[in-house]
Amino acid sequence: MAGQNPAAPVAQQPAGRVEALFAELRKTGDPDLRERLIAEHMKLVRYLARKFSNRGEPLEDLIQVGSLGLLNAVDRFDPSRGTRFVTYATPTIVGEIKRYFRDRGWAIRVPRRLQEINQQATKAVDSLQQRLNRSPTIAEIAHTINATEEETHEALELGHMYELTSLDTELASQEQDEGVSLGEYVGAADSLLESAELRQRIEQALERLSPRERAIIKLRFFAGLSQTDVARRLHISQMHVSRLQHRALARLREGMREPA
Amino acid sequence: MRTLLGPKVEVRIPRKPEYVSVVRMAVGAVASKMDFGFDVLDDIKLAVAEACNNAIEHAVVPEGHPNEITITCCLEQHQLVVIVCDPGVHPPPEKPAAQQAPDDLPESGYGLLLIQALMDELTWEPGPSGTTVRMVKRLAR
Repeated sequence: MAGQNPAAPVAQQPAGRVEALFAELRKTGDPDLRERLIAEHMKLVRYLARKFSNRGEPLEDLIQVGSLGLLNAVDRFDPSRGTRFVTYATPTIVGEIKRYFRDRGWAIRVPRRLQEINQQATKAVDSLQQRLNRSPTIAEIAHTINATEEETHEALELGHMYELTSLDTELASQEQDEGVSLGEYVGAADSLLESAELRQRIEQALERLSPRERAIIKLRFFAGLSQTDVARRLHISQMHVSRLQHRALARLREGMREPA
Repeated sequence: MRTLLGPKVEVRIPRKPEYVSVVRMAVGAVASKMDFGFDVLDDIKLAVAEACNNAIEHAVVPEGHPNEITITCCLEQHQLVVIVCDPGVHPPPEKPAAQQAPDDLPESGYGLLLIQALMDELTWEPGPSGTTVRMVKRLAR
């Protein structure tokens, strides 16, 4: 059977009653009619807002920004185009809600929240283990730290990735290369970097380094060169590479902690 | 249906709401293999969960059909394709569209509108052995 595009039985339905009301609104500019159309579609706003309510912002706020999107849609919708109003309004409302999260740095805060949950969960595992005399379940851990099971599971799963910063510390404390198993490090880095969000954070943090610091980090930890090789490549002393690397790692760590 | 090009991950769950979080986690983990930003990852999870909720709440499953939902993720070169198959038939709206006030719109309609707003492509196909929702999220160039 051929795919129906752009989907949705509802979205596909021909323009009808609501669209006729919009045609009238465009003609008359009747403020009461505008109010009525807004009120009629608040259900859609509430529905959409509810879908984003697990992202840590109050539902009321989401409904409020969603209504802004609805107002825009009501004022911009062109009923002569033949699309249904709900089809037009939904991306506008969702866009407004998503912008709200963006403005509040949501994509930065969530990985941090997971990191926090991970720390809490790790502690909870210890205390529950002692109390129960067995390994606690995800449900028990989630309950103890007041997080959802999904968050807890995800946080524990992602948890080990965030040890990257402590890895850095270890490497930074190594004055010479001999103590560092590069193969081991590169192997670990591969699996660590599989996570898109973490990689994004690292890349953002890397961007804030000076070009030379960035080059050192890339040559040392991505290309796996020794400090001596990096020094030769950049025509500076190995001591200088060591100093720059130390500073770059400190700034990277700092950058990973700060919002972009 | 177009052929899927790339590694595939398939998850099959009972058609029950308590299993939707399993899908969310699985899809999130699969999508993490690609270069999606964290906010996009959550959009994808939300869209797929919504498709599952639709299948759970609105599909009418004929007798003899397995009461399960199959979710297939395919990591194509520049996009993630997720296909949600349920064994049900979705009843057509009782009243013709022209007579429907927004409050009458079935939530399944809202759900698909939401998916459409979150993803780059969406097709909805009723078929003899069930309903297929196919959605695509492209990597930002």
